Amino acid sequence: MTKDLLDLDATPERLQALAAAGVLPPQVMERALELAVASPPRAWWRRFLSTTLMGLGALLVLSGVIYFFAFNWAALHRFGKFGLLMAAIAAAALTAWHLGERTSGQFALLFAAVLVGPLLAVYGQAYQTGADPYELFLGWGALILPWVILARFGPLWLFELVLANTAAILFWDQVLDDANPTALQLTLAALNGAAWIAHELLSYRQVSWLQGRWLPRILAVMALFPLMIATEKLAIDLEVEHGPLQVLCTALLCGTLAGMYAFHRRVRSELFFLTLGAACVLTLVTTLVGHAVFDIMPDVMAFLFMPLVLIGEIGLVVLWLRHEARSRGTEDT
Amino acid sequence: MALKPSLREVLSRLREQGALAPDAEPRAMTAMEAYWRSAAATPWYVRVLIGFGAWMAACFLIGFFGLLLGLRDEMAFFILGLILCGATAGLQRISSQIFLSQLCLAFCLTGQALFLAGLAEITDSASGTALGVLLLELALLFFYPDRVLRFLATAGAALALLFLAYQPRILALVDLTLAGFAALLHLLFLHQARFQRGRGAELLSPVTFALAIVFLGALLGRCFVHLGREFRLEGSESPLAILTLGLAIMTMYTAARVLQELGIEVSGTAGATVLASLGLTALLTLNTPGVIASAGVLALAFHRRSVVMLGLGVAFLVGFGVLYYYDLSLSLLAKSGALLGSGLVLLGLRLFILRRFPAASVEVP
Repeated sequence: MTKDLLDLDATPERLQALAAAGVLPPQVMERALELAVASPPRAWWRRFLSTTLMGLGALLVLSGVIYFFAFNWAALHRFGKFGLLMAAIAAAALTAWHLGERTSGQFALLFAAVLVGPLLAVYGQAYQTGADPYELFLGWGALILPWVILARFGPLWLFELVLANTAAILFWDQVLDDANPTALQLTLAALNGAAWIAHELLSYRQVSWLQGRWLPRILAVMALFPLMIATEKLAIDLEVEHGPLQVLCTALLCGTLAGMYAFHRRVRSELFFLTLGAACVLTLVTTLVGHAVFDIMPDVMAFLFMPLVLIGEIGLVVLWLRHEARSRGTEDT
Repeated sequence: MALKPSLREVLSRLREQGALAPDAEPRAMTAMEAYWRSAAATPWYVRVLIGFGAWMAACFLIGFFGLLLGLRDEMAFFILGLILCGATAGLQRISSQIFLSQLCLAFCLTGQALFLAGLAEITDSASGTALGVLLLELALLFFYPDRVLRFLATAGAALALLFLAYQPRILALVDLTLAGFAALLHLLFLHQARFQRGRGAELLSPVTFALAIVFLGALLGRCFVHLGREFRLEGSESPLAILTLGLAIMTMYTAARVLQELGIEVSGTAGATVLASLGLTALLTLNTPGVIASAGVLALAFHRRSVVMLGLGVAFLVGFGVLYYYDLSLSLLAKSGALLGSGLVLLGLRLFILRRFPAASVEVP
């Protein structure tokens, strides 16, 4: 999916190139530069102000509610606390239902979903359930899942995924105390990777609310990061400390990187994924080369040689990224 | 929603205004194809990778020179640092080939570190060292033709200037410097088109981004110093309210310029709503100047359609918001009330804007 070159952003460098080619005479160039940085139209400003005020306002109100229950006001009976929270959740959900798929409606549902957490916390506080914190996050994620599915709103899906990640990390920490950390890394990578693949599949099928690129970028980082931790540990130690799962993590990382390249070539040109993948490879290669260099050479020579390796690697990566961008007409955002 | 207009949109606007011939688009397509074959696509995350790689390489090189020269030969460090900076700037001007660029960047960063270490030992004076670094960074900013290094040089120069301002231990001087950074940032954004036409066009993007990051980052540090819990600095404290009001005036000036550009009367209802909201925000956050400063950066970023700057503004706005409520000397219950109240005010303001200025009335004809 390459872009028409004239659909690229009008940056000063590109306008300069058009001027150099004689397409834009000097007097027209001035006007072109002004148009390229002209203030957005009034309707855009209105939408920007509306979204910013709504986002900040909702964030402040939510924080206020959380602070209120964190205060654990003894004078307020537990039924009073439940009543307040449930009334707020109901009001937010009804507002979301009334506003429908507008951004404000989706924010209202996000608001309701976030408030479910304090409700569970107050419940645990009031009845001393003795539940582990991971259960709170798991329950929170499970209870809001129907809303998440209904909302069709990227930030809410991301919130659900963060809850699931937190629950998994706490479960490993609190229940499986001595468990293999690589299994946790693998679980997180699988969870986040599945969300990423699902996003790309639905985006490919032109699902309208999944056409933005910020969410898959975050999901890619969330999927690759745990795999990188396991693989980098392998590269640093040069021994398999955590059994076959660590090797599986490395194999999965290689597979994901290959998949990202295939995605870029065949489905959608995405320089961010290539850069992310290149950064992973660069980190691993530098670690391995560093082992060899500091083993073989005296320290002074190793300190001179390593920057040359790094410079060579970065140079190659940048050359490759530019080649890919040129050959696929990738937008550089 | 893409914030920046596309080349096609700019060309068609120019054609509508009669500034371009009808056949301009096919010619532009041919020119862009030629440009695309030779030009480098280097988005911000690739530049971050380049900069990070150069820093890593520079760390190894500093280790190399440290081992080679011993750590006591300050004059050798100073001279070698200057030679490395000068030589790499010269080489970069001759060729921008990627491997050479990366090599020059790493050696130039090493040169700056050696220069700093040598100068600090020779002068034995913090002010003298900061002044030396400021001059070196300014020289590199103008003579080293590379965006990543220009970004780092601007950041280095701004930090050196802040350090110099702090030397008399009068925090009002630091505040004045921060206000100067803010004024420069607003000026560069508001007159972006004019600067892009001039000889310093290549400096604009790295300078604005570095300035914004150092300004907002230093402001965050300044607020922490004011809180006096995490960081303590020697020197006479100065009321942050003065800085807040100064930054508020700049933000309101920018808002007025934006309104003018959009053809909206500053003295009308819309103008008065915007200015009153900004003024009220500043008054309510007198001890956290970062809130109004971030609001200003946010407005500038949207005004000039810079998505990365917009993200930066949002991140700092949230950070300063957290600091503001942390700073309130109130109980959790009272803080909760303050948070709820301010949140409801913002939601109310949004409702007022949507009702008072409905979508149809703000559409551009």
